[in-house]
Amino acid sequence: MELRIENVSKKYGQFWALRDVNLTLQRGIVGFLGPNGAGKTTLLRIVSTLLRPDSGRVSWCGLSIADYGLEFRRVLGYLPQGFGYYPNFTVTQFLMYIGALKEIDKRALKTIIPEVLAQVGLEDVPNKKMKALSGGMKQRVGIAQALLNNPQVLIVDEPSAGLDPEERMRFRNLLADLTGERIVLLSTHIVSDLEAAATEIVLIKQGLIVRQATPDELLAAAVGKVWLVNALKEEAEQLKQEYTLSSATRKGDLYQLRVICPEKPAPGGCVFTVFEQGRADRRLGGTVGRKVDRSRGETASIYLGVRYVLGHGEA
Amino acid sequence: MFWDMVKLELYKILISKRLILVFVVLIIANGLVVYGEYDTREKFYVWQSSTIERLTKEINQLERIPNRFPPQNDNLAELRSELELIKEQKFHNNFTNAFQFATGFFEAGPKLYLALLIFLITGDLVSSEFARGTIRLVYSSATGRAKYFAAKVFSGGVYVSFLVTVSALIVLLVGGIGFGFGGWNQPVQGYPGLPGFNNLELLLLQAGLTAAALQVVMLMGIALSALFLNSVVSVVLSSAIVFGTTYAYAAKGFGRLFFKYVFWFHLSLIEHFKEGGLTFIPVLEAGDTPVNYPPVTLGFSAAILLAYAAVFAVVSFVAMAKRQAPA
Repeated sequence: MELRIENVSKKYGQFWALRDVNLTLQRGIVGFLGPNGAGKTTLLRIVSTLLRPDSGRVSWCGLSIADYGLEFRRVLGYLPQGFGYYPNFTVTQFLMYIGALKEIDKRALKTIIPEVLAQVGLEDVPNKKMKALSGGMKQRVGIAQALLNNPQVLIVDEPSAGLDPEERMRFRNLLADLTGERIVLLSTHIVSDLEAAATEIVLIKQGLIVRQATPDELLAAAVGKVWLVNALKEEAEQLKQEYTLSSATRKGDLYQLRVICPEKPAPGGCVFTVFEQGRADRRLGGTVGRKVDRSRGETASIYLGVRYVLGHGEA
Repeated sequence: MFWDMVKLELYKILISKRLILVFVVLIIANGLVVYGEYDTREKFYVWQSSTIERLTKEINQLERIPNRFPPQNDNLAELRSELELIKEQKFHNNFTNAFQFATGFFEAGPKLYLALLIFLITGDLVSSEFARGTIRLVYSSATGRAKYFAAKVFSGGVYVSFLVTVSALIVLLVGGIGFGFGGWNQPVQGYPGLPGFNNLELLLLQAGLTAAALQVVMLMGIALSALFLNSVVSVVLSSAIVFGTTYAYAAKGFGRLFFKYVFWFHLSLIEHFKEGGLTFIPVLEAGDTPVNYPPVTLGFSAAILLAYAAVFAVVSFVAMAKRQAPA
């Protein structure tokens, strides 16, 4: 089971949505991370056969998906971003319709639909109208429709967009349960969506693959490169301009920033003294810095690694 | 699987709010025609009784004059004869029973509001999939675009037949309430091509021919829906084409000869069975050069409609299949 993306490029007018993308994906959840407009959705649309690349090819088990024709779609499950539905259909009717599109036998669907609904935790609402479902429930119906044909390639594009934190967490857990014998391509710009479940993370920026790594590798990328800095307003502004920040919080006059860079940050070339966190010394210009220590659990989020790699273009 | 898809496509149509609007329009429009007929009849009787009253009064006044002059006698005779005439006048119903009413409806319907009622639904058939984003699920599924398009067209065709059937029932019901349900077995008048047909048989034939001809209208609606991906634009544009060409034909001078061959005229296939058939004899204005038109037969009309159907089907499919699913 291998999905290979080879030299795939896509251009919209003068804008490169994807440039020479090469990836080899295997069983597990592959998270696509990157800022808005990075090219994640374009790449997933190409894999889902909705879009043809300008150059390059996508192959499934050694054969180009273009050569498979409609057959490739039989192993494909796709939940597009903001997926459309028929508001007056019940959940079952909607799944029957998608099942018919997937060319699944009607009798088989009668068995499959309750199963997938149970899988996504919607077994109690088969006769509820789609328009009456909450955002999270609709997304779960979206996953259910993608699972109807028990796909070997499951593509999920920005599934947690617009969901409240509780729904998002539930959805994340659901995705983690879906790995099994399939490749799950999950696009998001929310790092925490991937933390628990992703087996591999692909970072995309401006149509280029910046890095393909495991979460642990990304975590390691940030170790020793995250600095906790307390700064006054002017210095904080300077830091924001010169460095990649992962977070900024304000405490009174003081800003606490997480700066991501290999060396100790020195805004404007100013020399500052490293103090323990919380001991800002305004007499010294108010700037203090401390390397964040992984052993203290301070880099527990791969977000820092992601920010580091995206900010410094490390491949 | 194809039939399951058609069934669900039909279900989409059946549960759409627009369909309720379609039925409301049908009931109101037919109700208005019946009301109009009643109103005209009522006005006639009011006019008749008031005229009789006035004439009787004038006659009485003249009769009371003991020694009438000859002109007064002449006037009296004139008034008496006028009174007789008014008394003898009877209201000529346009429709005497539900079946006559229904056949009248099917003569005007295809080119007028039946076409509009089709556009109301078909204008949304393709564009709504793009607007909702459901087309992304369709285009990433194992169903090919040709098969999906065929399911759409097939369900559109079933809708047209359903619309014609329901229209016939509504018209019969409304007409029956207004004019009575009898007369279904009366022989048809004015259709030499249908010897021995009764009103019910004529209605069935009309409904069948209308349903067949309106498939072209349905395909046109789908074509415009696929081209513009906007239901309002496609409904307005379709209606403009229907009414525009119909009225352009009626307007003197402007493209009249050309519009005789535009397919709207051929939608009334029943005309071929009428006295004179579907005749395209141009009304010549002073200075016009007489043109010899080929004779128009049922086969000719059917060929024209089929040609349009083929063009619309190709345009719809190409417009839909070539279009990318929205991001």
